[in-house]
Amino acid sequence: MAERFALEARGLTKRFGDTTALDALDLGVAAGEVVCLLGANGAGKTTTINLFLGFLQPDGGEARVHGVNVAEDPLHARRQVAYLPESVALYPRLTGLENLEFFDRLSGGGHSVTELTELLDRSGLPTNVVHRRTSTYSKGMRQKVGIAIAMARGARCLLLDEPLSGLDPSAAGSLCRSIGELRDAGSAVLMASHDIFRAKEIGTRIGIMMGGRLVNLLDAAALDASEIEAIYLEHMRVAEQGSPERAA
Amino acid sequence: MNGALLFKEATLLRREPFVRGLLLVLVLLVVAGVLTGIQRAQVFDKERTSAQAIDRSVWMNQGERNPHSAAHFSRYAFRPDAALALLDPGTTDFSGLAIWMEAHYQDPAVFRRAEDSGELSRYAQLTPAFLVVTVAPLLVFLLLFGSVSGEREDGTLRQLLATGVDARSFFLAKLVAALRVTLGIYTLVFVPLAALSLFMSPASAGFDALLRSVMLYLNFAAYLAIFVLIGLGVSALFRTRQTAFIALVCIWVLSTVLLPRFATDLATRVYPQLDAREASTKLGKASGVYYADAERRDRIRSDLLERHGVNDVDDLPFNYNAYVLQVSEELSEPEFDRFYADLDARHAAQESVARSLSLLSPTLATARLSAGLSGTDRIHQRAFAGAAEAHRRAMIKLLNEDYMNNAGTAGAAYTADAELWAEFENLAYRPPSLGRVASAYAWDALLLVAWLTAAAWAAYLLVRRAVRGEGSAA
Repeated sequence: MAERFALEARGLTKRFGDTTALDALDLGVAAGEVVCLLGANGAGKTTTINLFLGFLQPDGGEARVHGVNVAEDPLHARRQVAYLPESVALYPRLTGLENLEFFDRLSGGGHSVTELTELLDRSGLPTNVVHRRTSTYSKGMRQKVGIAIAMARGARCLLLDEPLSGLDPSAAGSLCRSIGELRDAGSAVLMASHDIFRAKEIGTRIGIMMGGRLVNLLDAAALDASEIEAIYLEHMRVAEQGSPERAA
Repeated sequence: MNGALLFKEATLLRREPFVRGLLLVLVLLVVAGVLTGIQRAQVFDKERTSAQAIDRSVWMNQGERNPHSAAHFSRYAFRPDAALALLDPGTTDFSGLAIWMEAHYQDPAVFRRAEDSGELSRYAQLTPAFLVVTVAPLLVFLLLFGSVSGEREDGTLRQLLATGVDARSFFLAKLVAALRVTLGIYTLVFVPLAALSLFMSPASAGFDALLRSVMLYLNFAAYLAIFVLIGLGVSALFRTRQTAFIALVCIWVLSTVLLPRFATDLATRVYPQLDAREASTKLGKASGVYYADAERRDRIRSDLLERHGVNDVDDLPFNYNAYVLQVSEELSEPEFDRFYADLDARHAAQESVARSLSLLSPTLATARLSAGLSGTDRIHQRAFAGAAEAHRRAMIKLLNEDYMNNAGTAGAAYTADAELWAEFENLAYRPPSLGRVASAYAWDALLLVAWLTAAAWAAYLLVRRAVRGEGSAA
């Protein structure tokens, strides 16, 4: 039977001491879909990504990547995902192309140099910096190499942890177009973000997270950005009113 | 083995800013070490050849004299340079180049180069062994302190793990790349040096010298591999390059600089060196053992007369005084053997104290193996002293027997000439083969293997811990 979701969380829970960072998350991301998780710092977005990567062990529930239980077989699960963090870490003494080549070889990609150069071009990296060491790259350039790595790996699942944070509008727009390309090619994308407008731009569905809980899951096509913002702010207001500090 | 990881590691190490600087420093040190080594060997050889020729000439030209007088006139036994002394001169400068072979007395070796050198000369001995044992570990640490800590600090480890790389592949790639660079440079330096050393050694060294140089190569390779593993393990223990660097420099100072010095001090404190005056007194007593016991002297005399059926020593068919000289020699021999065996046991006990500290650092075991394989340690010096003593006893016996059998009625006025002196050949010393002395180094070799195994295991566990910790720290 064909699986319904490429990425799936069922009752996924993570606690750090007395704090519940993620509380019984139920979420599925299908192929060709981008689910954006919106929320303030500490809402549980990054914890969700880390649980899908197997960097954290869940205290309850399970995360699955193409049906593979991440906690049981994290290496198998990771080989099926591409991960783009807030700040892509590259080897500074390798060039952009060499970094891409390395990550491509690591995942058994076997692309030619021409193909990899094309991927860097598609990700928006200026041609004249491809052969420069990444120690000279701006954050935006590194993110673009990160996207090219994700493209080269051909992973059917993408986990993006605030990849647009700190980018100038042009670089953010370029990155969003690349993510859109991957989505259109059939990848399942789970993206944590603070940016409602970018989330609306590329998201299929938008999840709002508060205090470790997914409090709303919206259809991005059915709402415009200002409506999403209004819903988000309302959740924030309710959450603040219900907080112990406010009650006091 | 993950080829992509290995390729990346090798490329990064090649581009490590330290590598070129380290290579340059290493080449300069090696060149300086080799030049001083060659100079040292040439000076040794010149001094020895010249001294040996003078000694032989003086001996042969001493004219006619009583053989016992010639036995006191005496000769030197010269120790040839070990085949691999260029790589590790060991105790050569401290143990003496020659032994004075005279009647009644087994002398210790003399002509220690250290006695003729300045106080600071011991710090300037840039021998290849010193470079490998003391300097190379620091260079290895400078190369590797950021190997894992840098990946953690930069976030690339997390990026790698997200692609499904496992701890074992990561560790193996790091290890193999580091070993390739370290052992590659080491091999490039060692092989020409060993070839030069073998080329400069006497042809008689042959296969044994080749075998020794192969074992020496393996000894140093294992030692460097241990420091590569320590470098990787400690780098994995810390989250930043800075802390890993500080920790590794501390380890280097403790293990290669302070511990060997401490081991030497501790060994001589537990088993103090024999006082020179005490040694001289004991050797004097050993020399005069025949004359110290009047009762035994009388018994020997009466037994001899009885055996030959005569009442007076003048009626014996040989010279009695010469006979007494030889008996005196033979009575002293076990005393000398005992004295030098005790002295050797004291040195061995000192070494055993140092050996026990090898559990704290592989440096001591490697240094001992290095000197042993190069043929420049206490065991080889002892073998030379033993050969010189056997030569002395044979030659003194030759002179005494000539005196005994040919003096006739001339007695003390009897003289021999160059025909007899020519029978007192130079000592043709051949050092013991590795096979004959190998058992003396078994414990050090075992310690090194234990260190290698333990370091490999510990490094793997530390890297695995860092890899797992990177996930949970996210």
